[in-house]
Amino acid sequence: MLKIFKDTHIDFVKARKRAYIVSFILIAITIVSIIAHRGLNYGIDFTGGSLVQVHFNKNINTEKVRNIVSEAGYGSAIIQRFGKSNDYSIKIINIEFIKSDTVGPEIIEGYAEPNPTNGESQIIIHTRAYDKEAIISNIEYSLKPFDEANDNDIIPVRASDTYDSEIEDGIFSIKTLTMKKGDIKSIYIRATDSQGNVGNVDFVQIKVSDLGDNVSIDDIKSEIKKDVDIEKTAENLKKSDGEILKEAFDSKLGEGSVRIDKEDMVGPKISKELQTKAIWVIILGIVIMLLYVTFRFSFRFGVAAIIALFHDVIITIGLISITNLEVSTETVAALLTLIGYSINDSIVISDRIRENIKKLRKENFITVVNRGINETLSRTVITSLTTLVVLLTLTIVGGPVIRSFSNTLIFGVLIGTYSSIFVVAPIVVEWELKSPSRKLKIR
Amino acid sequence: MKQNFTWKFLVIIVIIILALWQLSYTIRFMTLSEKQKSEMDPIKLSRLEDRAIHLGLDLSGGMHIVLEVDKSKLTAQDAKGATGRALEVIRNRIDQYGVSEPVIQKQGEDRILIELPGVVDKQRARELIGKTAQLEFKLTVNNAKIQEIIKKIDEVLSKSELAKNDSIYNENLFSSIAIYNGYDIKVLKSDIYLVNEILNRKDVKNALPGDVIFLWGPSPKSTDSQERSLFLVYSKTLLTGASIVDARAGIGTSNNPMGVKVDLTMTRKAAGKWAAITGANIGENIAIVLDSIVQSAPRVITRIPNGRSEIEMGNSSMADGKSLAIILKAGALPAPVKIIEERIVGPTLGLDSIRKGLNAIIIGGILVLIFMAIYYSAAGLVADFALTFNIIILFAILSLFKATLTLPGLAGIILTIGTAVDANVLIFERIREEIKSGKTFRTAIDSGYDKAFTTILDANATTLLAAIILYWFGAGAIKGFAVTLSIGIVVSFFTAIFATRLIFDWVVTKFQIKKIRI
Repeated sequence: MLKIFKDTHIDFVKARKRAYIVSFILIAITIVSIIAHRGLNYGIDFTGGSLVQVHFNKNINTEKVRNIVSEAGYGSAIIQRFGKSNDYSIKIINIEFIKSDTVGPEIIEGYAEPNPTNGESQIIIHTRAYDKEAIISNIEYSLKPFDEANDNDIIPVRASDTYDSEIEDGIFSIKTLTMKKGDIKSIYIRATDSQGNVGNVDFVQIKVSDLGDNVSIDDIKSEIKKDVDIEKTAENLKKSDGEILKEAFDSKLGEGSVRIDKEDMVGPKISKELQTKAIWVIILGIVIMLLYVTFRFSFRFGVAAIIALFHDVIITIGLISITNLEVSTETVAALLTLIGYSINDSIVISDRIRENIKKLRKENFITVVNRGINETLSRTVITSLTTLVVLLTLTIVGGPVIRSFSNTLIFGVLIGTYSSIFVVAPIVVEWELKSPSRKLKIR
Repeated sequence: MKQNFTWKFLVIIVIIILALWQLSYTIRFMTLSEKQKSEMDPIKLSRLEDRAIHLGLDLSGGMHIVLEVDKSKLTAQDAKGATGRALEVIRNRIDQYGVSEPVIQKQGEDRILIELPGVVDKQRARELIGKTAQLEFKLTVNNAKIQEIIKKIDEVLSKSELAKNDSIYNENLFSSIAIYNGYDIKVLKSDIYLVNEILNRKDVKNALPGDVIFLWGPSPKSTDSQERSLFLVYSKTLLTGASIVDARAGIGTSNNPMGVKVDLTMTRKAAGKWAAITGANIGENIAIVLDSIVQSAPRVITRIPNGRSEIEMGNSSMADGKSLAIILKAGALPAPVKIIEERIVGPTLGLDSIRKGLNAIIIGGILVLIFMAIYYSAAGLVADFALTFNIIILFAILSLFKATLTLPGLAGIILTIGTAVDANVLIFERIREEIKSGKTFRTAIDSGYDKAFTTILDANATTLLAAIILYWFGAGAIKGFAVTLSIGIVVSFFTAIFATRLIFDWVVTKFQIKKIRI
């Protein structure tokens, strides 16, 4: 019979003071590392931005890649070489979203109807504005030039969607009651977009006349007509960072020298949501585990298991920070798996201790605990081993995409195994020593 | 007792056979070369693909996009259905593009998720999704000329290699599949690809006058509609959608008080042009073309001087009228959409990921199998059988429930391999202890399984809970991890408790074995 541990009688409980020091140091290192690194190395899932993974057909060094990327306008991009020597990942944090539109909408069409009036009491002014980038919010009208007008003189009209998102219409009506026959008035028009930009000012002239007053439209050269090439706008849809980079590489290194293997773009809204969700999912995971363990075991074991859980998650995050591993959604998955794994380990040991408490009524609590840990030691170590074996395989042959997941879990399994032996039971023992529960005999 | 074993073994054997049968589709599909795929009957191929394990975009390659519909400018009433309408417009465009099995889903109130497997032409896809729709008015070619052109195509084809010596269709190859009825040309669904091929032929293109093009009507919505319309129009665009101010569906046309109509209002600028166009083409049809698809081709009855037209919809329903009005007015997206998340994986990386993931499963699996066999000897082999059984069932369930396999999903399977043996480790360690305490092998097995049971249950339950929470968090591919992990846990619970126990009991009873190396 092959055995890793032959009937061990290790006094784990006695070693707990040393374990506390080890854990304390590890947690301290975690905090120092996170402070020193100014937080964790978050992936674009949480920061927003773009990640472009490229493969070059010929040998190229990192410096050259960096230069080309810089010249393409991504000076602050983080470039990493991985896997096969010609695979690179280029991380662009948020650049795309910082760049914003500064041009206001343009008034492209405007006319008054009827113009000149034939005794009608109101004139309707139709306006059309155009903005390629942002959404047009209001079209504003004023009887005074805008630089002379105050807020009361400017009448904003909500632009309405007519044909597409780039062209918007506004309708404004003006009463002619106060106007005298033969009056020619200018209506000044401009538009604003959702980014707060104000576009150019244009105007339409209106003329008030009576029936029979024969003024031809040509008298009033007031209609605004500008042609906008809609088809061109469709072509000009913003290029993605990956396409811009590909063009840059193609022009510097020759057509077809690079292949884009992967391109992720995460907008700021999504990344913020993922941040919140990630925190919630970890909290929810811990709370549910607490409930489960409390329900299945005693409250004290539950609390001890949860302390161990925090311990494991914190130190694993510390190791992520020290190794500067990227924190992605996969990391969150790994942390949650770790939560399940850590509790699983604690349960196995606690289960055995509970069983021994019933079986060995005469023994003192510390002996019972030690015995429980020793009896389950083989299982704890073997399961950790098989799990580590497959995770290491994943890290080595699984490729770079999944590495942040497998590495996080490797850290987690190591720490989780340690804590289930050295943290969970000792906490219960400590508690028992401070305030013995009636059922158990101490010393 | 013996009878009992037969039944239990039968259950396991049946499960294995069913699982392998289920997996055979995946294996067959995965081993098909591109050439074999193209030669296969497309219906059979798609059925096979449907039964094979469905790969996520990170493995198959493709594009994942989340759009947000900006409703800030819509009235409350318009905002209500805006996402749904945007989704329909986008689906319409993607269908035309011909992506196989696209996923187009509403996510929450104002988001649309689009997954396009295999598409790597990013620019094209993004244009399809976000671009301004091209609404155009084009004059249709008149009766006599259409018949003349169809005849011409027939002539060209009869001289080409398509004409078979013994066929009676030689003289009217095209006109027999594209039937002109005075309004549009009807083509059977099954002939659409053939017509496309014919129209794309160089000799046919050369025979056509330069100023006309063939354009399809909308793809038939209902499955019982067997044909699709084809129109022959002049390529010149008379007016674009920019000239439309408003379009509304209503009831009561000038000829029929109960008839459905669409009232169309054009800008003042376009009205003059429209008057000239309609005036010159009374009796002709004008095609309303959205993104190169002819949505309708109403006949011009009179000159329209003021930019206000009425389209009589004949026997169409109000719903048809409304959808035409939407196409005319908001055939473009009802509200601006913005790409807020975009993930593209190239096919090379996808294949690479599959290969690496499978390698990790195989290598990790073999290492664990070897470890168990060495550490627990004969009993280890039983656990190895359970593990293999476990992985086969896991894959079979994935394909049976049409779950999507992603790269994190493969990682979940690998993790399952590592943890699935945990149950057996717990049991075996228990049995060892029981034997050590002097029990017979038989009783040691019984009490080993019994005592380990609740621990295994607890351990599996916590991992399952974690997996369920993760599924909820589920950002795309991560969901795949939660899925494979959950299935793995449930299956391994079954195999570790039921299958291994059965083997032990059977061996001990049948061969009267007193001791198995453990």
